Amino acid sequence: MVGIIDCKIGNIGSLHNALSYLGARVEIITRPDDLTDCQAVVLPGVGAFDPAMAAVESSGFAAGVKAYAEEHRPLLGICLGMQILTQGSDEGVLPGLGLFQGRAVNLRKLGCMGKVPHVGFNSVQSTTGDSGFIAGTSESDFYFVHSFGLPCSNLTGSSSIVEYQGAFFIAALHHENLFATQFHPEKSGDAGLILLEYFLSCSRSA
Amino acid sequence: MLKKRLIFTLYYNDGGFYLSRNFRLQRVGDVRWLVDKFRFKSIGKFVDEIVILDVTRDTQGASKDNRFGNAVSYLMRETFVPLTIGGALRSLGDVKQCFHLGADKLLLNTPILNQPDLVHECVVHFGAQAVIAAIDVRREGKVYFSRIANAQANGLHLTEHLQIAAELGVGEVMVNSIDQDGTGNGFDMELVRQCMGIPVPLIVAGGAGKAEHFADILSLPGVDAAATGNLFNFIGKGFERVRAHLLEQGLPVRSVTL
Repeated sequence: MVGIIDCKIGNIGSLHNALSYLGARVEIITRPDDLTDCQAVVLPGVGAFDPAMAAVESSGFAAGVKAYAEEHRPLLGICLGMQILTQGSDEGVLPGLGLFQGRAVNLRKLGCMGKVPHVGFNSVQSTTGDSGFIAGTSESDFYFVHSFGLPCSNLTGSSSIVEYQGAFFIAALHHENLFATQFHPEKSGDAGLILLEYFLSCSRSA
Repeated sequence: MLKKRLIFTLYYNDGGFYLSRNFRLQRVGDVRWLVDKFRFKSIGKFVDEIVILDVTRDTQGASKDNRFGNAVSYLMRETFVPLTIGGALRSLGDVKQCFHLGADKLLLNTPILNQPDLVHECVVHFGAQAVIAAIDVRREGKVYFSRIANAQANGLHLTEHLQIAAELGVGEVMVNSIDQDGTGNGFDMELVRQCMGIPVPLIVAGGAGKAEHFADILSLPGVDAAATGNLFNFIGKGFERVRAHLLEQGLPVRSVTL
């Protein structure tokens, strides 16, 4: 079964629809204990960093997700969910879970000359590493909606990079059992479904 | 590179979906009609976002009945593009209900002027990216005024209204031309000039009648998205043709995944 973590920090409806559409047995999980039964877990998130991080902490998922990840089980963070997996964000003061290196900064700080937030479908500029998941991100346009982004330096694993109005930042990350996307695969039409399918296939073989 | 967006706006009222013409509503069909006529299963290939407005009168957002929720779920169950919900959102409870129904963003109109605290709360709580300010605009000569719900007189100068929205920290602005609304005569290109320089993405609505209209408006710098709520002009393969035209014209739009 695939668990979608619900800390009331994201819209889980479309993610639930997308994963179910792909044939997965999907459960919304609200208690860290429920992680035990999951073959794969998705952490979605939208909104501001600190309220989201506080919700992850207070619900007990911070510790739960870290323990889950340490067992090398597949985990996917989406949008703010990705930033929560990093060391933190300039948008807030709370530390992230630190499963990925780096911390999110405002797109302006990354040199963005355009309007913020970065909203809409954008395509990946380049990729590093040999991950099939990351390769899948370079095939099409994906839906982004965010004001903070992860700089492209000091990363472990494979990554894909997107450019917006002069700013370069991370579109997706993959390292061993850990997956993350700044964009929303569940709102990116067929291209997004293909990526989610890839994630699910990793969880089946894990 | 960031693509320009094509947005489909749906007006829901008391169980049906409506066509709006100069802001007067006319019932067209129910949710099954919509799913059937617009081939909703594949609409996500051709439109980038969907906006659903509950314009049912006499019910506050909080009391949105199950029928609205059911219609939204039915429309979106196999459509994987971003969803915005709006219409009579007056409290944080109403807003939460929208997210519960699967909204990614909120469309706020009246609260921009009447309930700035609610708008601010939404921005803080859900992030700027989740809040779109909708401004309905009427043209008088060369001047644009915003329309204020339930008020006889015209509202503010558009520039003033835009300023207020920007100060509230909304993530996007949608300007809708009342004069062009539902006419199919094309977008108000002049209106865009009045919105230049806003710090957030701009969505223009009102007047789309054919593919060329989208090409016209999206070719303007400063326009990030164009929306239509016209239930007749883009029926069947309409949006497929619009997208094909935009791609043909070399406009930066999302390519179609086949």
